[in-house]
Parts: sequence; structure tokens; C-alpha cells
Amino acid sequence: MKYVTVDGDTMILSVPGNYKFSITKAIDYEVQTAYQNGCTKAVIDFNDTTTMDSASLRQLTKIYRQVNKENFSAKNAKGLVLAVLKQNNLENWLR
Amino acid sequence: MIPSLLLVSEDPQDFLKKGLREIMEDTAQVITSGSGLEGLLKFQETSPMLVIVDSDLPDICGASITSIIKDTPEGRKTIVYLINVRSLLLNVKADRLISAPINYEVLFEQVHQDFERKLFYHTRSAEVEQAISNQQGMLPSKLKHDNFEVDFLYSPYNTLSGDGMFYWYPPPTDTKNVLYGFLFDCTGHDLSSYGQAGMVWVTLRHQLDFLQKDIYSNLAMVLDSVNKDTFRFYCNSDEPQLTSVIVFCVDFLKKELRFAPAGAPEILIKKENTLKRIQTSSHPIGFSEDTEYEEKSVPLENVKEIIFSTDGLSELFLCNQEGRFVLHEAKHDDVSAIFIKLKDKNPSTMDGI
Repeated sequence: MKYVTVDGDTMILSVPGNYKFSITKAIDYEVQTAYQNGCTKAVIDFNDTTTMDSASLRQLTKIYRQVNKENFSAKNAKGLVLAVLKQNNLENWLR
Repeated sequence: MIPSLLLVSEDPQDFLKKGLREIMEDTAQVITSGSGLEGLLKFQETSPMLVIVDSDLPDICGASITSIIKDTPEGRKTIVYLINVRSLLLNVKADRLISAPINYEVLFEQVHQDFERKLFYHTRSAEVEQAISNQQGMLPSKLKHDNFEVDFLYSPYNTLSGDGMFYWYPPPTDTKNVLYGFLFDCTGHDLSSYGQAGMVWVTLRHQLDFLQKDIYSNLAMVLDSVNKDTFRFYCNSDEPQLTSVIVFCVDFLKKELRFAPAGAPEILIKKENTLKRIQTSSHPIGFSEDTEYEEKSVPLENVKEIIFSTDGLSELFLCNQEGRFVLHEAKHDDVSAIFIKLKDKNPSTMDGI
């Protein structure tokens, strides 16, 4: 899979470059595959993500709801990505 | 008929052809031609939605081929690229010029986007025309008054916008002199976000009206109602329906700007020689039913202009520490903004700022 890796019961989503509307479908497919493989937790690694838009925020919100907040976290957000999280009061995703 | 893309290029290693076939997948047929004259005939025969012409052709200059195509009735409706451009000639009518050496990643991405856009419009043209007309009809008018002017910027990313805005200025009285307004940004573009944008527009207009009529006492109540309406309306959907919103009042009697954000970008306040950015931090509409929104206020002393924008515009201003723009695309979202210019008035005038 291009965007999602599985580590035990945790999926790690990492999107290089611009995390935008046009790739959310492909990501959704990989996320569903991760659920089918038994993943119940999600970590979003923003290390290589340079920008994100409202479509990606919607996708992450969906994952957040599906795994429940205690099983969801994000890390390595910086620049524009961090600005988007702050703007939407979602810095608490970062752990 | 299957939509098609025409490539007019010698392309000795079939690199372009293979790349285009990969990005088009099942969306379109890629037709190729190795010479300009053959390309013109194939264009007439197949009526492709998009044509890519190489500047370097064995028989006729590629730039001329693009102009010949664009001068036909069919060609006017076709997107035409001229690639491997090394110098500009007069009368080149191609829609897109790609210089040599070609960045294939950018080229294929651009072709894909242009084709998708064209295909979308082509398959739903009547529906789209009506939707465009509806959206245009919901835009505000420019306002010009003694103490302020309001103008706006509206640029959909792809024909239809997921953004919306409105503002109005009821006739002032001795006790109330307020400009009301809102600006929002729904997820995505095209017809699906158009539907959500329409719902959000109507809801915001309706709820902000309650504030004008003093049924609500503050802007946070407006956002709270819109948020609850969103969850009610989309209660059967698995997809979160997120909207970034800002609602505002410019109070000319109290000389303050009141606003309540929901996932909105920063607000820009221009004074004489300074530009202040007011950062906001709040959940967008549709994130959680329990979100508590907050109204904030800013005094208008010495303020010349207030700018509200969606992130489609605010992101374009973002630079890294070296002062260089960090985005890798010229524009990648709907762009919308409201500009409120405040005018200096005679200090003896009661409602001046």
C-alpha cells in the first residue's frame, strides 16, 4: 500500500507532499483494507506532508470517528499542516 | 462515444503515450499521431476533449497546428496544449504552453485535472449551467455608503464553488447601525459540494437574521444553530460534513467588529501602516455536535480595512522563512474573500469611525 502501513493493530497513514482531494479515494481504499486486516487504531504521520485541504481534513475526521478519539493520534505536523490543525482547533490530535 | 485525448508527437520512445494512458486509465482513449497533418485529420475525425501537440513535429510547426485547431468551431471547445516550447511565436492559440525540458510529473497531473474538469462539464452541462446560474444569483452586491464600502472576490476552482458568502446593511437607526455577513467554505468542489454550499448559505442567512432581529444575542448562537442543523440534515451520512465558517457584525455605533469563527482562516485588519492578523482556532461546523463556539470582538479605532477570506486565498500568502512561496501549485482551491473598507469621517459626525 502506498499511504498506509500496518503495525499490529495500528494503521499508520503517511501522505507525502500535498494531501488533497484527488488522492483521498486511494487513501480511503487503503484505510478500509487496514480495517479488514484488524486495525483498530490510527496514527497520522505528517512528517512528509507539506499541505492539506478540507477534503483531507474530512477524511481524517472520518477515521477519528471510526477508531474513536482515544485510538487516534497524529505527529510531526509542521508549517501549513500545523497551521490547518491550529485553525481547526485540532492540535490535541498531536501526541 | 468514449471520450478521447489526442497526442500529436513523434514521441520516439512512446514515453508520452504510455504516461498518458496510465493517467487516463479507463477515463479516456488516447489517440496518437506522429505528424502535424495527420494530427489535424485525426482531430477532425475523433473530436477529442483535449489535444497535446509537440512543438517539434516533422512536417508543420506544432505552434501552428495548435492555432489551426483552436480556430475551428470544435477546437474552441477543446483544451489544447503545446509542449516542448523553446521560444514564443506570434499567434499561438494553445490554451497551455509547456516549456522544454518537460516536467512530466506536472504535465501529467495538469492533463489529468484539465481532462477531468472537461469531462465533468461535458457529461452534466445542463445541470452545471443551472447550478452556476444559481450560485451567481446568491452572490452579494458591492456596497457603497458614507462610512464604508464592501467588495468581494469569488473564484471557483472548478466551475462550481464549495464557498459562499453574503452581507447586508439594514437601514441604520438611533440604536442600531450594523453590517452583517458571513463567509464559508465547504469540503470539495463541483456538484456535490454545490449542494452542501447551498444548504449552508440558506441556513446561515436564516440564523444570522435571528441575530439581526435580536432573537439571538450573539454570533456564537448563530454558529451553534448552524452546527446542529448540519448534524440533523446529514444524520444518515457516514461522511463528516465539514464547513469552515466565519460570521461577523461590523457595529458602527459601538465601533467594533464582532465575529465568531468555525475553522476559519485568520482575519486581516489593515491600519494606516500595519497589517494585523487575527488568528482563529475553533472546530469547523460539522466536526462535533458538542462544539462550543465563541464570539470575539475587536475595536475599530484606526482600522482602514477588514479582510475575511477562505483558505483558498489565505494559503496563497503563506511563505517560508526565506520569504518564498511554499505552495507547489498556482491555485488549488476555491478563492473567496470579503473586503470591508472603512472611511474616515468628520469627527463631529456621530456615526463616523
